[in-house]
Amino acid sequence: MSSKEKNQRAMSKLQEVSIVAARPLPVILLADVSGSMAAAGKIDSLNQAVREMVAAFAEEDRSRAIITVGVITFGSGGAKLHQPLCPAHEMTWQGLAAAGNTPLGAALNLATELMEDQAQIPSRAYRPTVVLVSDGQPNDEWEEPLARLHSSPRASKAERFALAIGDDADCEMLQRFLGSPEARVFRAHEARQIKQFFRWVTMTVTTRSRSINPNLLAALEDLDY
Amino acid sequence: MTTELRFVVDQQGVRYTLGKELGRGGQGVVFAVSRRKLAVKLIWGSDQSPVRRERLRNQLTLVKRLELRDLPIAAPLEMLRPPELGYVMELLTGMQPLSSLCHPASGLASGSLLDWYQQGGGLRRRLRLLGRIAAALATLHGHGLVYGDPSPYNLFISAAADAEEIRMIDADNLRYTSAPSEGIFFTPGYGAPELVSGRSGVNTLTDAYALAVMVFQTLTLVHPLCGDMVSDGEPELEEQAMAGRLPWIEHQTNPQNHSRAGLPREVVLSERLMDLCRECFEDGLQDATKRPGVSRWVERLYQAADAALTCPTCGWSYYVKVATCPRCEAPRPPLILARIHLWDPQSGEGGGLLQGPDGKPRTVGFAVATARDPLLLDDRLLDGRQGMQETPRIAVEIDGSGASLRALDGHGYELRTSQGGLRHVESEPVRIALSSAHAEWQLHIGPRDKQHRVVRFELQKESGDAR
Repeated sequence: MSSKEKNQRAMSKLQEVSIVAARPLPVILLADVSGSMAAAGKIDSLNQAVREMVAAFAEEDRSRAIITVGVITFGSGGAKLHQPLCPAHEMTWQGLAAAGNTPLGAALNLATELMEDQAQIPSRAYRPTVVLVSDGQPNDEWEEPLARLHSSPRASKAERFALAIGDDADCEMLQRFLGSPEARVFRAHEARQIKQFFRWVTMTVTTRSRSINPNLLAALEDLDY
Repeated sequence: MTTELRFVVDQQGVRYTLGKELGRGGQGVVFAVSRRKLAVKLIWGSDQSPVRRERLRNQLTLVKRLELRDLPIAAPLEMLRPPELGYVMELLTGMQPLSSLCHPASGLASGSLLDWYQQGGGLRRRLRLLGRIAAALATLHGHGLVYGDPSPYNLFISAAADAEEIRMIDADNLRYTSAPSEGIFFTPGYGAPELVSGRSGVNTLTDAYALAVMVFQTLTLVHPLCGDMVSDGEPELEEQAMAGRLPWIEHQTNPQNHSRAGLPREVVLSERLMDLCRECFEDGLQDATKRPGVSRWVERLYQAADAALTCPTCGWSYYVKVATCPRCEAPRPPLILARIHLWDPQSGEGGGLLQGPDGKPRTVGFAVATARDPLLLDDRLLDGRQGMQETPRIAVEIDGSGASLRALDGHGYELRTSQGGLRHVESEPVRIALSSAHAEWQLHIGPRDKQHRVVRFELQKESGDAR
């Protein structure tokens, strides 16, 4: 190849340069939007806390991981994909409204499907984080859907968080969702604590995204100096 | 929580207000100290273990005892008072981690990506910064020490694109070679396969591996082991690649892990740099003894930087052998080629240039100057000294069809022709006419009865210009 040809080859390539995008780090929120969440400003606190969490994610450096957020709601009309997975920095948060029952089983099924769907979460993604928030007792069959989530190849690897709002929340169910006796269900009795919980989730996720190996779960948990 | 810690106190009771986070790695996080030329390194974990504290104290004492004047290490000043584990160090303001040159914002289109590369100083500045980093590692190795965990997160560079300072900020990590059992730290992506697998501790060749990764990644914007199959695959596959179980992305015979990403290798890697990459990532991937040491990188990085020039039309920087700018196709600008030779006082009558086997004067180095890239001849080019000292001695600027030379170090130098012409280069600029056919003028760096280096200058017209 003559040097001219070589240069032309380099030339054509220099116009179509691309880089490898950082791997996504998905965060999936399972939010109880049953009618009881409308009481005592619970849904408003939840909306505000999630909005702040998404805003904090959007600020994070995206060189090592891109935090994406998806929201599944369960309440009136069953379980819904309220917010398909989307990079936090491109997201406009749509507030949640509370009404209806607590169809948790349907929500768990939707979450498992989402996590196993390669079109939604590519195989190159880091392990997802799943956050379950509830203030009551499920009113559908949820044990089998939970077992499916725990045994499905990718959903089972997810890092899980659980928030019990108020005294009526089913803490035993939430503990089983976490799947580990050491993991603890965070309990919120007032709006302030809902925010605290989401700050804790935010910190754990951002620590992972900044970490030199974001696939390690909570590897830097001794960060609280 | 990091974000809530606003100040720290050292052992003398001095309080430091933490400013911007400058970088973080596997061991800790570094903050600027507000309004002072200082930084604070906090080591992960509020571990009260007296063993860890004692180890850090010993480490900092060791570093303070070293002759650091020739090393760009951010010098440790004082340890922090418990509950924090860490220390205060000197750090110039306006420095940022090398990672700022390796990771463009995600989602940039090709054109913006090239603009970003150029704003970071382009090829030439990247080569010079990497050369300085390599030289710093070589100096450290010369002291019998290793850096341990070189990574783009703990090697800092000037933030301003026209400055080329570097600082090593992990003084607490310097060590003599370590055994595998000693709790090895490395940054994923930069740890040699023998560290990843735990077969070996850190040594000069694990430092050399990390350097090679940084060179390849800073220049091409892609990790040498992360080909398309790895970046499209599960994160676990990346761990396999980092353990050296897959071929590197430019493997000569196995294209399995090839990558379409990053800048074209031939545009940013000189042939000799590419050769070193092959040595390191093919035979040297699993066999550390086949890996090039850091001093070979120093030489070749500087040689490549000396051969890079800036396009006057678009500002892209590229290697001198290419006839047109790889970005905008503008012809290569007129340039001065400064070839460096050796003076042999024993040769002929009164000495002559040392000749190679082909009977031509042996070239030991060269550098280019264009209107955009003035040439500073420094100790490295004029004495062949490889070190951190790069005192500029003579400035060479292109001046029409000639060159303008001036001494910067207060000394005088002789310019001679074979026909007996003689000019003196001192602090006032001296102009000489140059031709492309014949390098008439010889700049002597020493007296003619002693061995020294000689610089010859030739003019290269704009490429494609047949006049």
